[in-house]
This record gives sequence, structure tokens and C-alpha cells, in this order.
Amino acid sequence: MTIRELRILPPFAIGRLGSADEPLDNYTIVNDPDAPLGFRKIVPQPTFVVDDESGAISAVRTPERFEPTSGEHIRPVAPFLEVWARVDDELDLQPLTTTLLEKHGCSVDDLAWTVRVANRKAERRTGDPGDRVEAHAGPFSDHGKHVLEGHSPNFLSPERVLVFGDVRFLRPTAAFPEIRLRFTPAKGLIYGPKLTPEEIEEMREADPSVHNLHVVPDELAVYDKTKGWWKFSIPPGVRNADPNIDTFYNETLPPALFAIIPPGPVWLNNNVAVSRGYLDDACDGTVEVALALPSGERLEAVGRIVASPPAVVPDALFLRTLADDLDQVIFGPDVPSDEAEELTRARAEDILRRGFETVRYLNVSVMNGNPVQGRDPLDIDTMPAEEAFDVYRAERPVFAPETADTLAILALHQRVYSALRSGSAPWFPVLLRKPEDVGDFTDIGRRKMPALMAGADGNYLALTRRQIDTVVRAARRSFSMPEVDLTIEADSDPSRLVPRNRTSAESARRAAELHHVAAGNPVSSRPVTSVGNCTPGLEVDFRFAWRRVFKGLLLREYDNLVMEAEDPQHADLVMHRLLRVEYPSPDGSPEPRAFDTTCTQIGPNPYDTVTESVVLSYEANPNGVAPLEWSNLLARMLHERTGKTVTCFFTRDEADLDNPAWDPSKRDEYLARTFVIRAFFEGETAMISRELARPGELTQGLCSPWQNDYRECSCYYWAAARPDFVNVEADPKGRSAGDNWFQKDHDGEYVPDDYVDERLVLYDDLFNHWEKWLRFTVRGRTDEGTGK
Amino acid sequence: MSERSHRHIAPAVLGAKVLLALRSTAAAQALGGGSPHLPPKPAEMSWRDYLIMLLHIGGELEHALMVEYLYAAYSIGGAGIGPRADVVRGWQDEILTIAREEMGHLLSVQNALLLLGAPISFERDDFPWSGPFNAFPFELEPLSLKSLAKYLYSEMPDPDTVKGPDKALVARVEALVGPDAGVRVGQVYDRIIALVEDRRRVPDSAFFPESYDSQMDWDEWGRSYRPESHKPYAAHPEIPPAGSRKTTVLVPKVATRTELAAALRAIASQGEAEHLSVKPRAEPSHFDRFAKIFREYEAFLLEDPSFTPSRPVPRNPVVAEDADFAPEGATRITHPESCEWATLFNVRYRILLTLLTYAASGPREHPELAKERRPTVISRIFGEMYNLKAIAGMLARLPLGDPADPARAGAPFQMPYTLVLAPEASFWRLQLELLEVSEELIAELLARGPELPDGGRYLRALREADAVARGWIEGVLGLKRKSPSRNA
Repeated sequence: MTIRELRILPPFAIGRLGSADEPLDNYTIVNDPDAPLGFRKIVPQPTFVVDDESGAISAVRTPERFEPTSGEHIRPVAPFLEVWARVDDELDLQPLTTTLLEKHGCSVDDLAWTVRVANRKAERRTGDPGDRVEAHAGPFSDHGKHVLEGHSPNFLSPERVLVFGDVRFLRPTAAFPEIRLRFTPAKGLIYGPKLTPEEIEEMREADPSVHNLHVVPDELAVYDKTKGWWKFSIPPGVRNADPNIDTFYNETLPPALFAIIPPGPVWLNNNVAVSRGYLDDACDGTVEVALALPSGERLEAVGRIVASPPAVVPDALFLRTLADDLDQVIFGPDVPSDEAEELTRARAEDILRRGFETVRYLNVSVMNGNPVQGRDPLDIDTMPAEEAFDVYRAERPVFAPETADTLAILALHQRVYSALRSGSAPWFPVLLRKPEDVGDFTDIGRRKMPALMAGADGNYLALTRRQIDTVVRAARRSFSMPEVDLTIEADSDPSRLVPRNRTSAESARRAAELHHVAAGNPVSSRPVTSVGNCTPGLEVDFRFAWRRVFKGLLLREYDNLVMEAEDPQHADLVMHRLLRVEYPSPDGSPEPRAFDTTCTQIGPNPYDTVTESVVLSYEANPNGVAPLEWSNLLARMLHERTGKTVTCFFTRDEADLDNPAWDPSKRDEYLARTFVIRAFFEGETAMISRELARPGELTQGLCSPWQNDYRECSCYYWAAARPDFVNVEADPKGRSAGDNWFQKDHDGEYVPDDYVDERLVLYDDLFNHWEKWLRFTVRGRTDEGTGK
Repeated sequence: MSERSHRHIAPAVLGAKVLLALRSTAAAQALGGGSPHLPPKPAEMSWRDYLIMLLHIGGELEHALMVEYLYAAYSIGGAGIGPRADVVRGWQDEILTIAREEMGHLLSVQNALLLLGAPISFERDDFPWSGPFNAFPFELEPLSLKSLAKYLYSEMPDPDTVKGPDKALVARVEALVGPDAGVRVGQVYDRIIALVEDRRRVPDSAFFPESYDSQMDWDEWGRSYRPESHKPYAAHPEIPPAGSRKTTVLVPKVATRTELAAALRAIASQGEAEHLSVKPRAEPSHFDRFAKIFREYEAFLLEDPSFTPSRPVPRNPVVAEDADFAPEGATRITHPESCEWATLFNVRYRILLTLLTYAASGPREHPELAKERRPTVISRIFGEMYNLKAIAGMLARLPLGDPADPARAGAPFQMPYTLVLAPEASFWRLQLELLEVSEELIAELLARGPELPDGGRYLRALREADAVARGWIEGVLGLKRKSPSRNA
């Protein structure tokens, strides 16, 4: 008998920042079967008490209530990563324990942990590898805390560090013999350059309306301001789509997501963005464990950790989460024809439930582009305003303005959900937005579901293809489907959430690992609580997991531009754009499978707004081209061609300043090359391959510091994670009334989010006191059940 | 049309039974008038008044057809379908699509009434009901070849204009429906349109263009039911783009006589009268859709004479306290649980119709309040449609009487005693009371333990959604709120 294989479970654990000493207690969320339309119930779960001195679990307690804060401090989410083992030829994994180790002639001392995390946010903007902040711990086998000290060549000295938190190999005991590591993320501090009083004064004078300019305290002033991140900027004309710009700048999308010298935001100030040089203590990276067997063989396993902002709406799940995208990678974009109809139906219901949970936090009237208190809707940050800015057109409300009201639309979604629970097949698949139609800004196109929100490509949000197919399949189910008392997936005990699908044993096992609920881990440490529409995302920027999927190439994360050729034979492709992917159709059809990497943005033709459309072009984008998000675009390719080759077509010329689209008439002119498709996960695990993303890469597109994101991105990106509308009740006239989550005083008087109103939380409020202003929202309210 | 209308279009002394007899072509012809099968304008009415009455009748016909189609669609299912489930599911989709389009017609008729300064109406009579403007007596029945033939006949173009293979189809349909079939819906619209366009009989002053702002429109009511826009530079914009949904819920607003005539032509053309179509068709007409189903049905019967697409649901199911109260020809639902579901259905149907009447009735005594409440009213209307769908689906799976009997129940679609709109506060009071009645029925059903597991799951959600709706109404009525009062 021998241990054949190790796993770290979960393979993707989300830590959440907070400065409280005590990590957040374990909790989960469940649906009340008697109140299926209500909020999910937060249920405290058995919580490990870790003895600070010994590093052992000293007790297990189940708290009486959910308390996300401790005084003025938010309690960090500090997930456990468990080690599981496969013994001999057994298929199932079992927890690795001291007993199991001893049984195989090993001891705890034969285990060694190595942790690597990084923050590449500044590097992603400046392009300077010296701006990368990296931390490394291990290999270690002891049970003390290992602080993840981040170093950077551009820090003032090797002694000045940015702390990403710590990791600790918990000391196994007789009561808790399992092998586990705990990652405790950082406090959510903002690091930066050490400025002179004159430089600080200069910043103050740049915008006198900022009365509380954040000043990086000396102990956090680690950055050498002679380096590029302090006062980093690019010419405003780049963001103004000035067609005269002839220099390439490697921005990410959305651009300028970093703290800038006031005034902000950038788009209200002629797109001038000069960096304050801030760095946050969020990160992502890998945890490796190695076991030296008596035979001399060495087993290894690896998992990923990420440190991200807190989950401020703990009792809601977003419509499209990272779990949906990862499940699509695991199972492919289609629901298998042999999936049990009850399971498909349950998943369809779950999607709709998450839909109304998302609607609940949108001020639908505002997000629809209606005038707000008589003000121009273009002053308010919404998806229709974003659309107007993107295509240089006047703003139009999406739905009939008279119909847009949060409680009304929420109720309608709930009625649809109720009807589905009666056994009615979904009648609305045609209303779901197709991923290739996200640039359709005609009336019908914009009203597709999900509405009013942005997707990873900055256009209107689409569900994953697998989610869409789930609803389509549920609509086609047989007339004689057994009437069973289904438990909706999201109603289930978390441990029963998997497998989500029984496509095949391998997929099911992989999914079970991905969604594994490690003992002691709150639900907010799991991918189901991570927003999936990565524009750029909150926990991770999932676009960065796809950049190396064509082996030998590195693409820019959002627009198919070849940035690097890891394989020298493709060096000539750098700065060319990938336009199309083809491979032989697996069904034997003579037509190849083909995926164009862009869509065309279209809008209503003023001559006939119902029937006809026009290309929404402008000088810098004459063909109205918009790149499509890879997670949906390449899902089928990944499912069908992993480890195999595909043919990619690139522009013949460098296209760093152009927005070309696939033109079939030029097929022979394009550069056609063959690439192998990389495996998304390592081996048989559900761990996103290290070949695809290195430590720090999954978070490098996110805001720097992340606090900026809450100010810059309104709720139409991530409604259930960054709410807009809270404390909502019907007023005596019957209209929805409540607070903007981001207004300082929650007094029932909604303050439109215009970025500069002092009644709102502004940049420096967040930089100074983010734990005060990011208010937990439970049962839709900010004033109850949050421990404050 | 309602019983009281009968005296305007038939001798006052005639009762319903006589009217049923009068529906025969020969009898109707005997009444004379501009159209061979339709009665003339009564002497006691002005032409504008008569036009309004015809529009009311048109609305009732649309309402009746919609309900009959919904009933037929919800009847689909059961073991008789066998291996043809995919095709039959397509039929169900098609019939529901037609019903949705009929709903658009019904709303459009209300806009026409508003333009004429007339009261709107969602009225119709219950079974047994017929009249000279009906093709057939109103009847809720499961989908069968015979019922399909009746729908086809009702929506049929002028038989003289039918060509090609449809000619033989029309002959088969006429053979199935027999000689008693009355006027087609298209004929009713012919008369309405002729009158709308008759400037001498209906002068310009009869139109109220200021009603435009109060009329219902597609943006509010269309639910995206129309073909998608073409991609730019379409060679043939008159033909819907490939892959687009082949349905259009028409809810045109009308400001002028010309627009009204065009709207009525579009409605008639969509369903009932090919000859009224002025543009190439965007999608198949109701006649085309039913014809396709009819032909497929015939083919299935040739393959398998035992084929039936429907569950064993009754004709004209009713909730009646006592067998004596059930009209002749109706089927009383007697299974206790089914009876409660059917009652719940009728309550929700009433909620829907009263809300529709509120939403469509134009300026009210508190226009500002009506505007503020409009999102909720519209949301509730569509929500109630989903409730009817859910409960109708449930009834088609529940026993009619003896649980051992294969006969299933069905949605009764029984009309409330009135749809006359009460003043604002009273209107919401009624809504509150209807929700309270629903709550009692839901409680009884849950206490009983619904036979179908889905029933319990649905009722718990319905109860919760209704509690929120009640809280909302209590708020606007200024009553003390009951929980949950918040955004649930």
C-alpha cells in the first residue's frame, strides 16, 4: 500500500481582506423552503479556533450569529486548504491525516509547504517587471506563521516590504489529525511612495474639493518614487479614441483603474490619469505541498489562493459567478443529452433565482437610463450611459422608462421563478442574450437577459453558454418528466452542491474538487461567491487565465492582440491580432468549427428602428468592432481541442492601433498558424494550470488599489457583490425607495451616483476608511444582522 | 358578446338558445346587413356608437379565442403523444404564440376604443355563450383534430381567396366543423375597418388623438415578442432575419383614423384575413400555423389512429358549488384539491383582468399616482399570466373527480361578475381582498398536502410573492403593514 497522489482541496480558495485580528467565523447560506423568494439565510457553521501559540486547532465552536466585523474592523476570511490523498488504486480521495501518513511510513515532518504570491497590478500598467511585488514562503514544515513579505526591486530597499498576510501549516492533533494549511490574507492596507510635504500639497491643490486626501503613512511608504508607478500616465488622447494617436500603449481594459492624483474620476476630467503610485496588499498565487515518501519518491500537489475584498452581500449569489465559468471549462458549453431532466431543471431554477437576487440590488429605474431627479441620465454611471460613451451616441433608456422600478421588476422575476417551481418549462430561452450578440444595441438586443449589466468584454452581459443551454434544455424537457420533490442546487447543503453535473466521472470528480467545502471555510471563500463578469472582476480577473491557451503565444487579455511569442517561431506575430480560430468539426461536417474573435456593435437604424440596424462606428473604430470575452468564445474549442491543434488566423500586418474584424474575402491574406490548445487545469485536478497563469497574474488587471474599484465601477458590473440599491421599500405612492449603498448617510433619500457628490463615498474616503464605508448588507439592509 | 348586447344585434325577445340557432349561416343571412353573414346596424344606434360596440365585440372574440387557445395548449401532454413529443411540443409553442398574439390584439382593440373616446373592455361571457359574430359557441376543450378545425375556420381567410393545397385543407376543415359554423373573425374586422374608414358615418370629430399618451404600446406590453432587427445593410429588410423569432405581439398606438385602420388591418392580417395583409408577411399567420399543426396531426393519425396530443381534460370545466349550478355542457370539477386549485385559478384570472382594466383604462382620477404605480401594475399583470400558466399546468395533471379515473381537471377561466373599474382606493382594496382570498386557498391547499410535489413548491413561492404584493398594497392604501413589508 502506498500513497499515490496528493491533492490540495479546494484547488481555488478565496481569502478576503480585513484588519480584525480574528478571522471571520465559518458560515454558509441556505434557502428557506418556506420562503423560497426571500433572502438566503446565513447559517453559522462549526468554526475552528486556532491556538495562536501552537498553531493547532484547539476547539470548534458554532457562533450564534454572523458577525462580519469586530469593532471598526472587518474580519478577514482566512481559508483552510486541506490535503487529500489517493491511496493505491482507489478512485476516491481521502483526507491526508497523521494516521494515514504513519500508516505509510511517513510523518508530518516529511511534508513541506511552499507558497508563492504576487501582486502585478502596477507592473500591468507600467510594463516594468520591477513593479512586480512577490512573496515567497517555504519550503517549511513547521507550524508557525510564515508572513508573506512582498518584495519588489522598485521598493526603497529589500527591508521595506508589503505584507500579503501569512500562511500556517496547522499542527495536527489527535482530535484534528488532518493536514491543512491556513491562509490569512492581509489587512487591506494601501502602500505607496514616500512623498514630500510639497508633493502632498501639490496633490491637494490639484482638487481643493478633496478635503481628506489620503497620505500613505511612513511605514507603508515603501515605493521608490523615482520609479515608474508614481505619476505613471499615458496621453489622454489614447482614452479619448483620438485617431491621431500613433503610439501603442499597452493598457488593460477598463483603462486607468488605479488611484490617480485628483481630480477623479478620469472620464470626467478629460481622461487625464496620473498615478498616485498606490499598491494594495491583495494578491494571488499558489500553495504547494510536497511529501517525501519512504521510497524516495516525492509527491506534490498545488492549489491556488487569492486575497480579495470582503463579500459585502453575504446572503446573495450573483447571476454569473466564477463557478459558472469554471464549470463551463470542466463540463463544456453544452448540457449533455443524457443529463437527468430533474437536474437540468434544478439548475435552470437556480439561475433564475440568482437572477432575481441580482435584480434586487439594482436601482432599476436608474440603471435603465431614466432621468434621475430630473438630471441628465448621462451624468449617472449606468450601462446605457456606458454604451453611449463606447459608441459615441446619445443615450437611450433600455426599457420603457415607465416600467422600470426595482420592486416591480424584482416581483416579476420572482413570479417567473414561482411558475418554474410549478413544473412549467421555461418559456423564455429566446430572451437570453447570446454571447456573440453582446454588441447588439438595438432595442430588442439591449432588452435581452440579463439586462442592464456589463459583461467581461464591456458590452452587455451574457450568461455562460452552459447556463444558457441549461435553460434551453429545461424548456425542451419531456412531457412526462417525473414529478419529484426537487431540491434546488442553491438550496442544498454546500457539500451537496457537487457534482453539478454527471457528464462523466472525470468531469464530476474535477467539479467535486473545485467545489469542495473544506472544514471551517465560510462560503465566501468559494468560487460561487466570486463575480464572473470580469470587467475586470473583484476576486480575480478571469480573462487572464486565457492569455496562454494557445501554446506558444501570449495574448492581451481583452482584445486578441499578440503580446509575446513564447515560441520564437511565432515572433513575427507580435502586435498582430487573432481574428479567427478554426478546427475540423467533430461531427464530421465539412464546415470547420470556427470562432470569430469579435462582434460588430450595431444599433437601431433611425429610419426604421424596428426592422433595420446600423453599425455603430466612429473614427477610431470605423467597423464598430468589439472583441468578445474568451470564456464564452473559446469554451467549445477548449472542450473539444485541449491537447490538440487549431488553426488561428492573424492579421497580416501589425494591428496594435487598429480594430480589425475577420473578413472572409481576405482569408488568404491572413497569417494562418497552428497551435496546440493548453489544458486549462493541471492533470486531473481542478487547479488552473500554472502554465496559464503565474502568481499575481489572475489579479493583475484589477484596480490598484482595489478600493478604487468600488468607486469607479457601479453596480451594473457586479450587482450582488457591490450593491446599488439597499434598504428598499415601497413609498406611499408605490415606487421603490431606498438608499444608494454608496451614499454616506443611509437615510432613505437616494443619492444618484455621479462620482463627485460629497454625499457619496469618494476615493479618499475609501483609501482612508474603507472598512467603515463598505457596509455589509444583510436581508437587503445595511442596518441589521451585520454585527455593527 | 355579453347577453345585454344581444338585443342590439338580434331581436330582443331572442334568448341565448335561439341565438345559437341563429348562428347558422342561413339564419344570419336572413338578418341582412352589409356583410352577408352579419347583422346590420340597429336603428337605435349612431354609427360611431355602433363602431364602438363592434370593437367591444371584437375584443370579446379576441379574448375568447385567446382563452380557448390557452386551454388547448395547456391540455397538451400525457401518454398519447408517444414518440412524437418534439413535434407536439412545437405545437404547444405555436398555439401559445398565437394566444400571445391574440393578447396583443385584445390590447390593440382597447387602444382603438381609447382613440374613439370609448370605455375599454376586457369582458366576455362564460360558457355557454355564442352569438351572430361568433364562428362557434365559446368552448374550452382539449386539443383535437376537431377543435383544431374550429380554430382554423375561425382564423380562415376568405375561402374564395385560398389557393393551392390550402384549398383542399379548407374543404376538410369545413367538413369537420359542419354546416353550423358562423362568421369568421376576419369578417368582423372587415366591417370594423370599413366603418373606421367611412368618413361620412364616423366623422373626424369622433377621434380623440389626445388619448395617444394613455394608450398601451409595444415597449410596455410587447415583451420583446417580435423579430429581431436585421444586421446592417440587409438586402431584404421586409423578411425577418434568419433564426429570428417568428412572432410579433402587435400593440400599436393610434393617433389618427389612418393609423387605426392600418392597425386593424395588421391585426386582422396577422391572424384572420390573408387578404388584408398589405406587406409581405413577417411570420406565418394564425391560419398558417394552425394549418401546419392540422396537417401534422392528420399524418400522425394515419400512422397511429390512437394518437392524441392531449391529456384527458374536460370540456368547459367549471367550479360550481352544486351540480345544479353547472351549465349544461359544462364539466364540474369535483375532486376537492382540484376544485381548490381551480378556484385559485379563477381568483388569479380575476386579478389579471382587473389589473388589465386598470392599466388600459386611460387617464384616471389620480394620473400621477397611476403613473407611479404603473411599473408594479404591469409587473403584476405579467406575473399573473405566469400564475395562470402554472396553475393551468397543475390542473391538467390533477384528477377531475375520482382519483382512480384517468380524467384530469382543467383551467376553468370563469369570468368575474364585473370588471367595472372602481375608484383608486377601492380598486386597491379589491386587489388586497383578492390576495387575501388567494392566501386562504393557498393555506388550505398546503394544509391538505398537495398531491403533486410541484404544487407545494409553487404554492410556497406564490404565498411569499403575494405577501410582498399585499404589503405593497397596504402601503399605498396607508394601512398598517403586515410582514413582510420589505424588499423580500
